Parts: sequence; structure tokens; C-alpha cells
Amino acid sequence: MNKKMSALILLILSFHCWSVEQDWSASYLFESQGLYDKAIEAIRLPETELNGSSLVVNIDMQQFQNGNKAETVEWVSQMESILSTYEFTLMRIAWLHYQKRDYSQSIDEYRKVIKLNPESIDAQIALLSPLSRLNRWKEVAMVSCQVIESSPLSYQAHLFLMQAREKNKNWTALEDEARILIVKFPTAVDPWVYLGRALQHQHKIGDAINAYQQVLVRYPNNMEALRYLQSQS
Amino acid sequence: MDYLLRRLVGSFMVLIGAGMPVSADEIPWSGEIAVSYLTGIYSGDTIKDDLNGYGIKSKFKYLDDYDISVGYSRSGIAFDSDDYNNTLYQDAFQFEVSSHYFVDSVNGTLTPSVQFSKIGGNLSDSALGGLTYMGGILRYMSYEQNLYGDIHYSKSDYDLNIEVYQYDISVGGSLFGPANWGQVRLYDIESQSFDRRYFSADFLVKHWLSAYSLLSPDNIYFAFTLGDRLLAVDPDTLVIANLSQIQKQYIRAGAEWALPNQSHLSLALAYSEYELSTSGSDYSGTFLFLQYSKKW
Repeated sequence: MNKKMSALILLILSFHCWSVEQDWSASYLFESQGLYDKAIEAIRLPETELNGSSLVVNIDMQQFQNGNKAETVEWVSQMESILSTYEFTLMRIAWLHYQKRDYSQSIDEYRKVIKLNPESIDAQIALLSPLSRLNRWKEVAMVSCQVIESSPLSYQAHLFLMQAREKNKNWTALEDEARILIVKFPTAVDPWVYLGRALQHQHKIGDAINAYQQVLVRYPNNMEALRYLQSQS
Repeated sequence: MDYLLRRLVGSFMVLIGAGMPVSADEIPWSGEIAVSYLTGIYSGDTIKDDLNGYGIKSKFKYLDDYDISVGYSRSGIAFDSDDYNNTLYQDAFQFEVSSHYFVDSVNGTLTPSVQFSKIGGNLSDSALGGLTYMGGILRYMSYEQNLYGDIHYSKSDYDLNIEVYQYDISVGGSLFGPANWGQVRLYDIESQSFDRRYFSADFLVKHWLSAYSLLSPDNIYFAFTLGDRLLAVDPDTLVIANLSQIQKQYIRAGAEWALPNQSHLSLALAYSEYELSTSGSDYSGTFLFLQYSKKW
């Protein structure tokens, strides 16, 4: 712990000044208007970088030491407030980049959060959306497996994993994954749809018909199931 | 001041992640291996009788960021004439490295690749000699996978001191929905040894089907080339037409079956007309290409 703290202090001493105020209301208002750049600007973070899982903030120590005490106390309070919401701010900036369709930027921001807090299931699941938008299915599968390992009941992670299996045309793995999810979430329709697809591509016609019939029980107008059953009638 | 500094450091410590690294079931590498067979017959004013060849190609992928592919193929043409009455073979080695960049400002993936190929053997010795090919291609695919483009430049050095330069550019995209794809590639091939530049355009249309039965293919395609080509390279497959003959027409049609367990079967039929650049005589070739590939 001492080693970590002294490393942090040294890093703090070596950087430059920042001053920032975050306006969360404005950020949400701009987002609702589709003004994502402004929404990001409203909650702009100080110049930071990640060193391992430690955060380095750029501060001018001379200004810190020479300023009058009231100003400095206010400045530290402001900074504490930002640091206390730092992880959430990064998550929100990542989300706003995703909304803006800057998917690579969004991935970078989510990865910062995961670096800061490797146990964040939120960030890992959120990361799956921009990865899938970029068709980075191998990484989608890897991150999904990581989430499932630490949170086996994460429905979203299972869904993304099935999507990755489908895009990689790994039908046997998709079938296995869908069957696991059907047991865990028996009322859900998605696992039955994916099971139907997996069986269909493996030409297990009887089983595929059964799977699509299960889909229609849960979602009577599902076009994919109707088309398949019609093709086999 | 020390108190403030300690307070600040305390805030930082809240942000230090204490989580343990998580292992995943997935490995970052994936691969693909493909074996292929090619056969063909010639007719018309030529001493060539038939063509047979086989190839093997491996592709390794690290995450969705890097690809390396290596390939080897051996093909032989049987001749039937007073001068030649045997089969001449050639061996081709291929190598390609690609890196994928996800660029938000162009809403797509940019993939620069470096390509290398070497062809040798007695078939090439009987014509223009063996060759060394080096090329570069920059590919673009939109995030939605409905728009494609590439630009390719290559240089082929033949043993008989002939240097061939090829420039080509492609544009492709979805046609009337995601189940159809259309693509055009424009070729410009030139060499100081040629009497002119060779321009051609290659058109491709592909359609994905809903494969409900084992016999139903996953996709079918049709392609044809307009214009003349000489010593051309296909920048996608790295197949090099290294015989001294002008390709006048080239039509091909194919289908691909998606088999269980991440394997694919491809079948293609092709017809091509040629003109010997030296004698001006015409002949044609009909080819069958079969490929089985498996991913893991």
C-alpha cells in the first residue's frame, strides 16, 4: 500500500494544471437533443492517464502550493467530487461516444473503466455493444466469456456470446450455449431462436422444428420461425 | 497543505481497482485451413491439353486485429504436341499479413495488407521464367458491412527481366438489401515489355440464400471480366496468370455451402478465352475449382 501511495504522489508532482467543473444536467439535456459532443464537453474530465490500474491526474504543484488556502480548499473539494464520480463519468462518456457512433472511441473509454475497476460487470457488458457494432466477434466472445465466468447469470453476456457464435458460424457452440440459456431462462424467446438457427445450420431438421415451435409458443408472430416451419411443411 | 495532499491521495486510492484478472474460455487466436483442387481442359488453337492442381492455405487471426496467411499450390499443364508431350508443373508460395484498424471518422475498418508470392518450377521456366510478386492492398469495409472499397498496387518480377505493374481499384456494396452484393474491380496492367497497357473491369454479383437443407448453398455468385488482361494478379486470392497469353473473356459462377462445424465447401466453374500474345492464335479453357475449408 505504501509503495502504491508514494508512486501516486510522485506522479502527481510531475504534471500540470487543470480546472474543471462538470454540469451533469447540461450533459443529459444535450444528450436528449442529440448533441453528443456538447454532452461530453459538459462533463469533461481533467487531463488524466491510466498507469496500470492507477489514475494519474495532471496538477501544477506550484499553483497548488502558492494559491491562497480558501481557493485551494475549494479546488480540492471540486476535484474530490470529480474523482468520486470518475468511473461513472468515464462510463457516460463511453456511452455518449457509442451514441455518436464513434465506436472505437467508445471501446477505448470502456476499457479505461475496466482498467480502473476490473470487476465492473457494467463496463464489460457495455463494452460488448460497440465491439459488436465493429464486428469484432472474437473479442465479443472473449469478453462475454469473462463476464459469464464472474457472473454466470448475466443474460446479456449470454446473448452476446450467442451472437458471436452465430457470426463465427460456430453452430455446435451456439447450440450448447442456447441450451444452457434455455435451462436458466426457460421463458425467454431468444435462446430458442438461436437454438433453432444452430440446429437448422447443422441440418438437424426435427430438433430445429421443435425449437421453432417453442419460439412460436412464446412469440406467435416470429417471422423466422414461421418461415422455417413453412419451408419444412 | 500536507493534509490537503493526503486528502487528494485518499481520493485517488478509491479509484485503484483491486479486481483480479479473469481468465476466459476463449483464446485470442483463431485459424482456418483450406485445401483446394483445380482441374481444367483447353480447346482451340493450343498445344495445352489439360490442367490439374491442388493447394493448401492457412490463415491465422489474432483477435480481430491481425491476420497472417500462408499458402502453397502446385499445378501442372499437360501438353500434347511434337515438341512437348509431357506435363510441366509449377509451385507457388503465398504470404500475406494484414492489420485491421477501426476508424470512426470513416465509419469503417481499414485493412492494409502486404502480399508476397514466389512461383517457380519447370512450367514457368518454359514460358517467362519464375517470378517474384510483391504487392500492397488497402481495404475498406463499412461498420454496417454494406460498403466496400480497395486499392491495390503490385509489381511482379519475372526471371526474364520483365517487370509488370498492376494497379486496381474496387468498389462494392449491398444491392437491394443485405442478401445481395455487387462489386466492380478496375484493372490497369502495364510493363515496358508490353506494346500497350491492359485495362479491364471485373464485375461480381453474389447472393446469400436461406439454407434450409443440406444441398442448398449458403451463397451463389456470378462474375465476368470485360477487357483484356495480361499477366494479371487477383489481389484477393493471389492467383497469378503468369503465362504469356491475353485473357480476352473470363466468366465464372460458383456456390458455397456452409457445413456444420465451421467448415465450408466451395465449387466454381469458369470459362476463359485467351489469345497468345506472340502468335495471335485463340483458344479457350474451362475450369472446375473445388475447395474445402475449416475454421477453428
